[in-house]
Amino acid sequence: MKNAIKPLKVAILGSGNIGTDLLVKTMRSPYLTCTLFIGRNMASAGMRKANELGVKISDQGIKAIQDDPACCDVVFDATSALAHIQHWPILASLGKHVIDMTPSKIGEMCVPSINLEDESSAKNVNMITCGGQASVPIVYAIAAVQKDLEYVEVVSHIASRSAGPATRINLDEYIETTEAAVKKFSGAKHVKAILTLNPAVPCVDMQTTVLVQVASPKLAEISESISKIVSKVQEYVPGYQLLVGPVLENGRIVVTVKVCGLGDYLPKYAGNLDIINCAAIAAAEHYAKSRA
Amino acid sequence: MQNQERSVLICDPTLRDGNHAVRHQLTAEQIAIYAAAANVAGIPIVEVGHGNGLGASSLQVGLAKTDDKSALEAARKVLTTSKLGVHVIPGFATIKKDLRLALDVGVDVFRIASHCTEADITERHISYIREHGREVYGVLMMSHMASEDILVEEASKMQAYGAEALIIMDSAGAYIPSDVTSRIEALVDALGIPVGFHGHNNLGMAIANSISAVNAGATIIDGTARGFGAGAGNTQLEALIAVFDKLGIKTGIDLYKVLDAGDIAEKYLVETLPTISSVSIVSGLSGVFSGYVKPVNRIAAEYNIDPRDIFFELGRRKVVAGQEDMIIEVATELSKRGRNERS
Amino acid sequence: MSAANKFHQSFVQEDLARVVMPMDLSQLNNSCVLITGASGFMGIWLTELLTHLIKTQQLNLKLYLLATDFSFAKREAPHLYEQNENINVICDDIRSLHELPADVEWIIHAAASPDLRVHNSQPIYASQTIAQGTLTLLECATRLPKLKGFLNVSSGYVYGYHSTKELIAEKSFEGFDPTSFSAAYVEAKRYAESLCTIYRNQFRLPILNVRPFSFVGPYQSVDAPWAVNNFINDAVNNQPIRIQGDGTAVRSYMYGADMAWWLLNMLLRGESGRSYNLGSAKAITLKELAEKIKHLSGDKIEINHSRALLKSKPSIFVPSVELAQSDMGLRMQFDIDAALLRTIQWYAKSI
Repeated sequence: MKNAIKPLKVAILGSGNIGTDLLVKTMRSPYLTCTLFIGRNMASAGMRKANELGVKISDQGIKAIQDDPACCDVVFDATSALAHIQHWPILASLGKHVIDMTPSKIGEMCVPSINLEDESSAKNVNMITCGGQASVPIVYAIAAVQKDLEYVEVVSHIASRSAGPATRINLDEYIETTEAAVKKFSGAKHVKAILTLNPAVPCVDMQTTVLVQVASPKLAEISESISKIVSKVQEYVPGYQLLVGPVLENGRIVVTVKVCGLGDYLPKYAGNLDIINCAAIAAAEHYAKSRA
Repeated sequence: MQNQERSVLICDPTLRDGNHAVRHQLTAEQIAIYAAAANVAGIPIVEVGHGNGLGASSLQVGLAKTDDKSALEAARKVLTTSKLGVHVIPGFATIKKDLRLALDVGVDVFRIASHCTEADITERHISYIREHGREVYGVLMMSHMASEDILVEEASKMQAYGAEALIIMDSAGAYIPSDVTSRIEALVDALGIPVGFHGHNNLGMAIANSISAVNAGATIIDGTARGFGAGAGNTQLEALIAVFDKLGIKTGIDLYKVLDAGDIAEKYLVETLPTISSVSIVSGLSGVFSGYVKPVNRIAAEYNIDPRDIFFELGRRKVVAGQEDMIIEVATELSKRGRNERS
Repeated sequence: MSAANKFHQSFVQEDLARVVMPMDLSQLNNSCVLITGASGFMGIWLTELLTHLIKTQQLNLKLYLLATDFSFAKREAPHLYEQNENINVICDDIRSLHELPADVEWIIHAAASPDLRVHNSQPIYASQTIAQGTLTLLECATRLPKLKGFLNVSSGYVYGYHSTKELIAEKSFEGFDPTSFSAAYVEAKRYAESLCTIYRNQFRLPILNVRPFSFVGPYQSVDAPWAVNNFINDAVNNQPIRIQGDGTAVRSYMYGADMAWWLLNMLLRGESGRSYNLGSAKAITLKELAEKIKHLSGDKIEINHSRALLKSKPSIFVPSVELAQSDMGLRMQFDIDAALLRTIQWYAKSI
């Protein structure tokens, strides 16, 4: 019999939708155990949920980790970019492995289907954006076939109800962060990211389209490369599916994927929040395995 | 109200919405020619850019022939009395990449737009322009998709962020005059800023809707030369000015010169004059963004399906502006469905 | 400290020297004040005033300053927070308070953003901070052994929409529609007043309400979405002042230093259970305001009216402050001209 892996201790900083959904996912993982769930407001829905699940909670913010540094090995920071900039030096000095859910752009950008191997040693892992997690694998698969991409575009549509006040006020940051990731993983000279909110009821699933213009498209090879990476993504994002393409339309290669959420804490239509959380869990599990 | 002298501020997006009609292929020379004519006619605001506004040149909506900077500079040079305006949709355009550039070129009026239920994505962009001392309006697109009270709430948000006027767009050309009257009345009643209307002609209602808007208290009206614009086109500016003259509504625009500008547009900009095509009527009926007509026609031909089916399916899915990639998905699905039915 | 910060510090000292009147401060000596919302316009001015009194009147006073984020305050007024042994900064969300330091004797509850943009983009957060934040604070206050005064900062908007020339007095309530989106902030403020009333009733806490109107002066962010800030921003940047509508809307403005002095008086001398208006009773139309700002900044700029001619609905938002005057003999030291001039000087130097 194999030795059972001792689960890695994680603290979740931020008791909003992302933090609470991460908690539910953490509880399902054999490699992770949540030892502290930290918010600011004991009365918030996330805190009550954590309490109900029997997880230790604190409303002391980052201070809760400073007061008891031994409580965890890994910290998911699901607060805000501004807060993460203040948290990071503290967590770094405590030697924590940090998975950053905010668009602070401090750490190395991580897409589990692509660069987990390289990222295991990084102390601050950045999960980019929901659009980044959905589009970058496709972009990367195309770039593996078509070298020297000139221009890549990624377009995401999400349900209005899944975009909270922070997302809405930070659309520009979403675009900038997603574009940086697409550039890094495609090597394209020019990139563009677009985000549209759709208020339709019932809520629409998250959908992301990758558009690429190339002189002589090798569609068959691209198709194979994409289907490989899609199954790789599906290992950690079960609701990820290829919807369209690759097809050649009006001189463009078009690929559309759709993300249905797992419906853990958040509803299924919030595939945008689900995919970034699934990716974060995959990154944390990878770190757990590498330490075991 | 009826007896008072009434006046209306005209905004002319020929060089922006018209770009939809030529797949965003307007050149800097064309822009300069029409902008000069509009300037001579005394049109107060001339809007320039890609069909979806600043930073919207993309494979998704269509790559623009002329980049934002060149297009805006071409117009800036000749607009001596008219103000230079831009359309901005957050999600396409960002402050760092696009708004700064437009400020540098010297754009006077920024019209910051969102889908009619999503005004809070415009807060940062409206505030930014306000801080930089330029004029900034709020625009609610696809306004037929929201009820009066929701429109009032969203418009109030834009006002709170600092918008100095509020425009509702009938982006799908789906309104009939009574729709416009009730919405504009509600907005005029609730807001402390001028209210405007931007029409499309899918159901042949653009001029009538614009008149209804003014009668309901709107003081800003959009119109384009020859109706040059997305889908069945916009409210035709020359006809609009003539009707306003007849109704005694002042615009400050010279009728002969705006007629001349229309002729210039026809000669130098327009590929085919806007008509209320079958597909445009369906676009209006299904309440789908007028700018989808060109890509829907193209994709329908490629996939060998009826463009009208695509429009009704897009309408059923309640797509908003900027979701052009959905057309291919819908076409793929419809053609699969068609094959299944045949087999 | 940078030159700009030194300028800020001495500028505010001059203002405070002008508003501070002889007063018996023995109640404050050897005591402790908690300010919530301490990083905002009101909070910074109160911190300035109390720090000024500590220095000039040899007062022994401890301050607890509570807010979620002090970055604006620390950038604008670093002199208040650096090496100031009287000050204890608490970075926390008021909604998660469960205990206050037992030595707190005075509370000024000024948490909640008056920024319309926040009310519109984050209406749930804004309402919750007011309703739940006030409830939490009152709950903690019931366990304070030495509490002498609790000043709840409400809002002049609780009176509803006014369109007549009469000044709004403390009983001038007009009805409004609670289901309207824009009423959410006001309803939260009204509920907070109601909470104060029932805690006063049940626990006999010494609580009073203050209803602020419009203010001007240092420590307001220049991009705040109010007409006066826009006009001053335009003037300081040498660009035309733009007036929305016909400029007939009527407002009144109180200067930050006067505001701080009045607030302190209300805390120490106001009658428990009362509500006091805070602001200026001197009405001015937006058109007159724009002209004054133009004149005070050297008559170099133009005034433009919005081009889509609009007849504005009558809108009047001016308090009667007779109650504050009769109960406490308060007077403003900065009239509108002085207030605008000081504000223009401040921004001209800061930008």
